[in-house]
Amino acid sequence: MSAIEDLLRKAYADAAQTVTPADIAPELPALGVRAERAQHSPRRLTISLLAPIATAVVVVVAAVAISRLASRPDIAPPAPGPTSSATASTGQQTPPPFFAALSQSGKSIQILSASTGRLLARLAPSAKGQFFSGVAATGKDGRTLLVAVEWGGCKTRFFKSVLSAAGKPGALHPAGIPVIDGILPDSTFTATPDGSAVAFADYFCDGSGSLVVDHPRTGRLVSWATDAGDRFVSISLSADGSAVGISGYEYAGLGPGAEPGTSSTRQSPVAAVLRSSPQEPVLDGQGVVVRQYSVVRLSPDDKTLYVCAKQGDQDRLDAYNVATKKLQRVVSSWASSTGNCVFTLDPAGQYALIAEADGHVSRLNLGTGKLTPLLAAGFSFSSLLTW
Amino acid sequence: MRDAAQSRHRYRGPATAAGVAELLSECQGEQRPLTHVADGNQLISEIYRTHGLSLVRLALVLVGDKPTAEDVVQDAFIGLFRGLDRLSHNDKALAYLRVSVVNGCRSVHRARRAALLRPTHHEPTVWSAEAAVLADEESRLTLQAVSRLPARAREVIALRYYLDMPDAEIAATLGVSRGTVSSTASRALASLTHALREQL
Repeated sequence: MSAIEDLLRKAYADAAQTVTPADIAPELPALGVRAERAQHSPRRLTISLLAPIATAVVVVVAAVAISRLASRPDIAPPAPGPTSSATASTGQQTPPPFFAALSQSGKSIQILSASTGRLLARLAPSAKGQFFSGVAATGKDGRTLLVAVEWGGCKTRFFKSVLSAAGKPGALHPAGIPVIDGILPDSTFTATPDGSAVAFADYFCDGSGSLVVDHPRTGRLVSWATDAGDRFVSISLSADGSAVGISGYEYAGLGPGAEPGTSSTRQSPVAAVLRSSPQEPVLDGQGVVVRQYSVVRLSPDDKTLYVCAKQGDQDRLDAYNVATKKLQRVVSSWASSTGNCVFTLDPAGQYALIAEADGHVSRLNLGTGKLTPLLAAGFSFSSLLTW
Repeated sequence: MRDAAQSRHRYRGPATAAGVAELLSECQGEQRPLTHVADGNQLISEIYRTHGLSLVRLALVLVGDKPTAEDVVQDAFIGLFRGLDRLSHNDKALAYLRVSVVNGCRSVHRARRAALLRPTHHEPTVWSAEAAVLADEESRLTLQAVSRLPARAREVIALRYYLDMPDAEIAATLGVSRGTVSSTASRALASLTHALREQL
């Protein structure tokens, strides 16, 4: 148990003890009467009378807003940023027209316009009791979504859905990725733009876990076993799937096979780049670029690791040179949200989409650091964006 | 014998006054006749006597002040009273109440946010400096840091570290996936570790 967990248990116990049996009413009032009153109270009557009026007002206002939005042309596609080797290798200059956001509850995936931020559609799991635990945009124009679905109990299955030209998702079909007996914490699922490799961190039902890079078309699978206590916060692949950027916590300095620590002080935040090589079986201090609690994305050519971390009340995006492990530059910063940084790169690595504290999404030019807010804010806070 | 005992404890019948009374008897380790509970009102009073305090405490750690916590719990019991016929299983009563309490606390926070535009008079939270209810400064600062987390993170952390619920049960209570619970808790702990680094 970690120190912070001890603190929390003690604090809750202390707070709970401030309410003693003598503090609360020994009996409930007659509930039948209270329930009846609550159902027929004047406030409820007022609400029931006002509700249709309010609905009508909302419909009129929404109609006006929608007509204005519809008559407003989308922003032109962003001007290309600095040319990179990644751009040349992927041959993709224009960012995909849509991006997808996984809702925090896992109950839906939102499809939004990458130029206006407008909500275009929602994708829901096929049955009750199922939850999305990951989404990654792949294929031409990023229109094939690979999704991970938590399938009751402790299983995760993978599906794909192809978006129409208008961004409407098609039916979910099996993605050809083996089922896993474990769960994926959201924000730790990703894929290469061509869909040839997927990566995820899974926690098995028996408490163990691993980091997996799977190449479903070739059957090649690389996995790193993790020590109990290792936690992944974000995972990102290079364009060819040969390198994986990770952030999270590792048991620092304990070495392979070490026993889990007993205190959080033995956990160390880490942002690292691992090569998909079976010679590196265990995640322990390998490829560390910076020791910082962060969310990371790897550039398509795996030369730059974008590291987003909190700096006071700002989220700051830094670019690190993977080879030298030196900070190249501060790309940009913005008002911090209460959770982790939420951002994603376009397949060419020219732009990022970021979720800002007030819930709207902005496009960030990684070359110039310029932030362009998307017009509409139909976006509800998400833990994972994919573009 | 073992099978018979198990089947009694795992009985899943429709929610009736007698059924919930049976469940309560089992919880309390008592073997009382099932017919002593005459109506829903009496039944719910029984549940209140058994679980009322723990539910008020759960609400307190989520909203921070006692009067609001009591209101939330009473509303949850009213909800249970109204929906007793629709409760599918006997053993869902406590789970239902917990979900109601968590939802009620969420509504309180939403109302407090809306009330920022006008003067409000709710009690100071137990973790605020002016309340001076918590003797332990460390606990006060810890709960203060928790109160700055996003709503879902506060709920996950409270259910995990106050009620010691397993993640699967937290997921069912909050209506989210286990993965969401796991990653929400992980992020919350990271954030708290950062916020409370001087105390650790």
